[in-house]
Amino acid sequence: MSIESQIVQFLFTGIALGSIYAMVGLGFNIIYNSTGIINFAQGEFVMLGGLVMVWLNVTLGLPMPLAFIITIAAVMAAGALFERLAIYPLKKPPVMILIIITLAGSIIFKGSAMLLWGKRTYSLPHFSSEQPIALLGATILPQTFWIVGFLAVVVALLALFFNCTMLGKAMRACSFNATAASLVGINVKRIVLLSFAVSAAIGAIAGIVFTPVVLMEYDRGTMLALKGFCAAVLGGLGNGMGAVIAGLLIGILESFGAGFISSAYKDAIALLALLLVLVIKPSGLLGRGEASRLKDF
Amino acid sequence: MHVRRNIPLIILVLAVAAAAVLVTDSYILTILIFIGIYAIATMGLNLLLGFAGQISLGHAAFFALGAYVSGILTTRHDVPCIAAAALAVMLASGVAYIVGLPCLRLKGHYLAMGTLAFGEIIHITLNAEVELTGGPSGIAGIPMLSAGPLSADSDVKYFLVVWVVFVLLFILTRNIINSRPGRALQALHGSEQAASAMGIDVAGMKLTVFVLSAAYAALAGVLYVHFVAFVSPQAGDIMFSIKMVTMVVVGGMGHLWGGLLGAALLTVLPEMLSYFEDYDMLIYGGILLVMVMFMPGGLTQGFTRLTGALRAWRTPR
Amino acid sequence: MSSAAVIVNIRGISKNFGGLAALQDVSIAVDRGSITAIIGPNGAGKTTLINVLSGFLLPDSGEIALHSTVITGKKAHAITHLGMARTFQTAQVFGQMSVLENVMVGCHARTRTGLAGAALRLGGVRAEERAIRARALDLLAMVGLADQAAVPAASIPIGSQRLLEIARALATDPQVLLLDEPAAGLNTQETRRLGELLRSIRQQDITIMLVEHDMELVMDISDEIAVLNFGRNIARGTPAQIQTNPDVIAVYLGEE
Repeated sequence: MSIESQIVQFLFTGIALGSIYAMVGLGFNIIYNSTGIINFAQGEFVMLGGLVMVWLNVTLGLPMPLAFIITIAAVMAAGALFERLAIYPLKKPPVMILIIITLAGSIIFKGSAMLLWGKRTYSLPHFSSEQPIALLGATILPQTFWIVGFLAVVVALLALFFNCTMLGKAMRACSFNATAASLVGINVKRIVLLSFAVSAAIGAIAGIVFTPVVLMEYDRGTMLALKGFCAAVLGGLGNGMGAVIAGLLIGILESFGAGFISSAYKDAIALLALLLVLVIKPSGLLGRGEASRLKDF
Repeated sequence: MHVRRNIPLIILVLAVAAAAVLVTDSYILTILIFIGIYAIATMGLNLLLGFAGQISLGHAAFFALGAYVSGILTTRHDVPCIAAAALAVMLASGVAYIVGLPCLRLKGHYLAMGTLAFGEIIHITLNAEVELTGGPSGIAGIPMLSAGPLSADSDVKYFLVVWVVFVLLFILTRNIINSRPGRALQALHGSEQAASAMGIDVAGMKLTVFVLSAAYAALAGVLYVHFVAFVSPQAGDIMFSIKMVTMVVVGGMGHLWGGLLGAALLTVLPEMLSYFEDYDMLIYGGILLVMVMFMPGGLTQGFTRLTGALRAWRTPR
Repeated sequence: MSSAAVIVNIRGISKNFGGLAALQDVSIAVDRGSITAIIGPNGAGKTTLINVLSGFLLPDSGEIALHSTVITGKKAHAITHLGMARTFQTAQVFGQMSVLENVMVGCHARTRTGLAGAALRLGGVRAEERAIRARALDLLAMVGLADQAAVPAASIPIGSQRLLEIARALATDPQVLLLDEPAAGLNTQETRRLGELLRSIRQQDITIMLVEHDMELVMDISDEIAVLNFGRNIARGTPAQIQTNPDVIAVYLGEE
């Protein structure tokens, strides 16, 4: 393959990867915006989305659209249950306790997945054709279009939700000032629950749409969370569009790094990017300053 | 010497001595050795997490660095054990310094993610650099601990080595906590602003404690690798980092005996539940969650609550 | 007012927060051994000034000198070493440590035991430890908290926490003490005792700079008062002068 073709190929792969990181980043932002919490279990929602879909669609043989909906509902329920059991009972916990709680949550999800699905890797059938399409001198999988398409749908739905519905506006109010929001009658506790549910749903979608391409196993969550967090921070923590752009950037960076530098270290590229961002400019490329001040719960 | 204050320590020393003489079962000795090794690692992590209030989710990396460096030096380069151990601890401390310098400026979630990322990078490197580290298969045939003519060639001898090291470190750590730097650490945890106002170099202190805790972890790694005679990248994976944190939390963050208590419980528990292997992640997560929600002060908090309740119950009205 | 008596010289300090001018060209000369109060309506910039003085905020322009040493731009802990200590508006005691240990932390700046020395408990360390403990107890007695020495600092009432902060700041052996609203939340009796405490501190040749809202306390114990409004220093003088200053009166009455 010529260099130009290689570049285009890595670009296509990078966009697919990046879309997933973007969705994880969006999930982080939604919970962070409403609650100030960084949910260390975010990656596990993606993992659960993929594995539950495998069980429903492949093992049980349910038709894909039905399995899709049930999977999202199931993962949302898991996210909501986690919030009710581990977050809701506490009053203003210190940051370290919150970190450990969501970390524990991620371990519990991981452990449960290991029990239910074992350590092997699972795959899903592609949504449409598995035949790569020739494009611009390289090939692109049709699933990539599904991935990017779902990212666009998620972004559009979120924009609609946050700008046009009462509930979405209430969540935005919480992100600006939770105390003021509760004073005007917004049930902040319920918003917290909703934000976990919505983030779980987005994670599930990412998992479902991604598994056909990269397969899924029980412990993929941590790496996805780290890279998705990188996307969130790089784009400015709390900034939805920022996470999308940053996620795509990271995906492309990782793809080029794996292709041109070393594929053994490909994960390390995004991790190094995360460390660099945290150390040099924690407010991200598009962030709204004061990033080291984390919001109050 | 204040005898009363030192009673728990004296009991521990006596218990160690008794075990060395009485315990002959290799299996039990092995468990006790592992408890000692993990207790050394958690003692350091407790200084960072419990006393200074800084979170690290990548401490297994320092454990692994200590193990690998000592393993590589003694197997491939015939470096004597004590020297290899010293070099391993120094290297790990150096890495901790370089990583800590920029990262400890981060707070809360950022520090947690940063240390998590660092830990994963080390783990990836250990897997990838096959020529240096043996890749996923690791390094085998690591020699026993020896210093000149003496060598720890039996389980009992190794047991004594590990626990003597533990007791010495315990005394040093306790001295640090009950002193000017120890108070500065706790002040750091209480309020960084107020600590600064008291003349404490907060950034410098955080870095110092981070490096110190890395040194403890590396030393534990060295002791581990010469006992097991083998090391693989699993020694530096995220589950081990989280296990270390769990041990500190369960034992009691910020309590002197917390590290040992947590290490003991979480080493013995898997052994007692034979089917633990499959459930271990779930159980760790569950224990961590329950502990941090209902008993953030760990078992030592539970213990003091219990003795307080007992005392109130036994006090005549 | 000879310049030899000036211990803190604040010259032309300005500080902006993204368009909001918190401090504009503030210049105040503080006499050694005095109690100088900084007053002004809410939002006048008083706490910002304290934060700039103590090294928690970097000013955009201007200079601060302690004796003849320029301290602008120095880190907070370095400024404490140079002899300026402060308390906080919302009491920031070290909650999990005992009241006594809180004050012992204050001795950090003037003591030397490092990690190695502490770990090995060398001879000099034990002596220093005893000295720290004794001094801390003395300071607790001075502020009236000696009987609470073993109590966790988070569990004492807020008024006592403020006194603890003062004792802790005194432990740093300062030449200048910056107090940020020490009387907030105190009743009349407690405020009177605070006034006596401040006077006795001044008698030890420690200069006090005091941000305060409690006018009775301010007028009672201050030697000099500086008035801030919207970040500017609008008046300076003795309590009597300030009370009759038309600009000051306008600021406070105009606020209604």
